[in-house]
Amino acid sequence: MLVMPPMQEPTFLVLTALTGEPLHGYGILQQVTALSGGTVVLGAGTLYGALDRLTEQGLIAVEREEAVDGRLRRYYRLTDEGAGRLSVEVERLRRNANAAAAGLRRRATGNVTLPGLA
Amino acid sequence: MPAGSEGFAVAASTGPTMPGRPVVTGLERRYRRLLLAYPAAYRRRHGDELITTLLDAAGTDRVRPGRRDTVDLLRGGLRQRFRLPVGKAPVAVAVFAAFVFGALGAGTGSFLGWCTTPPLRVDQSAAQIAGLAIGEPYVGGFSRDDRWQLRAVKVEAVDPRYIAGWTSTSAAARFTAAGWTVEPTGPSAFTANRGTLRTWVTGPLPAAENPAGVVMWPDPSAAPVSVVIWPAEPAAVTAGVVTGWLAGAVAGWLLVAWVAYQLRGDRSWARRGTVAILAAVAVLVLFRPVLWTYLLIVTGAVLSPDRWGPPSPVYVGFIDSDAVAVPLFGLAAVAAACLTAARARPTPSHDPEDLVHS
Repeated sequence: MLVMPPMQEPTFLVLTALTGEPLHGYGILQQVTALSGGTVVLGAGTLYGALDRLTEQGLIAVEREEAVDGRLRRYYRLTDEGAGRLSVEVERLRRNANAAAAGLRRRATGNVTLPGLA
Repeated sequence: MPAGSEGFAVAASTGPTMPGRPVVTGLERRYRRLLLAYPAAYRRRHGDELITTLLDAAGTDRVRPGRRDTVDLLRGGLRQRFRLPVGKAPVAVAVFAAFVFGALGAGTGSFLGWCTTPPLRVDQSAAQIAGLAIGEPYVGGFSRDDRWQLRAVKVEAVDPRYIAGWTSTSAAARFTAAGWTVEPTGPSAFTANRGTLRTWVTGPLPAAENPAGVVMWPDPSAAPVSVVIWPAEPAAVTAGVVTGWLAGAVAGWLLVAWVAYQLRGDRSWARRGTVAILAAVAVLVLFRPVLWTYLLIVTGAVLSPDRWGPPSPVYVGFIDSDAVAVPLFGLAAVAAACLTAARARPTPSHDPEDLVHS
């Protein structure tokens, strides 16, 4: 079974931002900031590097292009492959979060032995 | 969400206004200048939408890019120039190209390093050195090693006469008396260093040192004394080889990244096939000089320089061939592959007027 490497946080947030309707670059920047509670503020250069790579990997795709006030806006959407990859990452994060939460609960009750190490 | 915090003022409309086209502000022009950090093909593909996003994020009052945007764009452009397509194969090709162009850069650096020392001339001083080795005035001629013909000239004097009573010990003593530093390298051979000159002397084995009577020359009476003179390697050579290798390796990687980006999305299998064939030809042609160059680098680094005669300069790897034009043919194949890739235009330049207006 092919083990996928953990996703970097900006990538995770960009894919998450596109789970709703297709967004253009500035829309993605706003969504990423909102999703991260302001802790991740992507620059446009970083964003388009990520968009270029994710497009090449088939995780996102260009939905449409528009001209607003004569300026190009390109809208991106999450592909099925991207949704699948995001689901895998969500499951990985959930598993890790559950393990961490369980460990903290044991610590709070004084039983600090990790499962499998007793 | 305006990015950054500095540089706010009233935006000035300085560009020409065309129907259906946006007003080009000073801020946009500055952003476009920053986008020059990106490869041209990337700018064609993403430049317009990047500008739109940057202007959206800048708000209405900014007149110049903030420091954060500037650093982000410069870093993004640099990263994009080095970025390879997804997958292991492009990385392997880029590493191989870095290996090949690193050798080419090392050879160039070696040559430039040798250029910092004046070439050895065959003059009276060379005859005097040969005479010192032989013990009598040298009357013969000099030969040059063709491989050294560019800068690091090596001259060789072979006295055809049989010099009665010649021994390497007495010859070494003459060199020592003349101020040379002598180091024996064999029963009948030694090297001598003085200033920027290096000399390697070999001659016939004396009978006492050759009890088995090994005949090393068809006619013992004609056993020659050989004197090889070459200039010491300038310190700039090592720096040139290292710097040249690094520059060449980076150039090789960048070239593969550039070609890959040119071909990305291009549906012309003829073009992609042509590039692949030309690259394969280049690899085949350059294989020998590249391998030879690395052997010279390794042997020069591992073996004691000058101890066994003059070491071959690293640049010899690309010129020590039956046909010097062969490496040039390989480089021509690389250039042809680049030109073929440059003709690919996977994504046309966008004209906002052609798009859906909203």
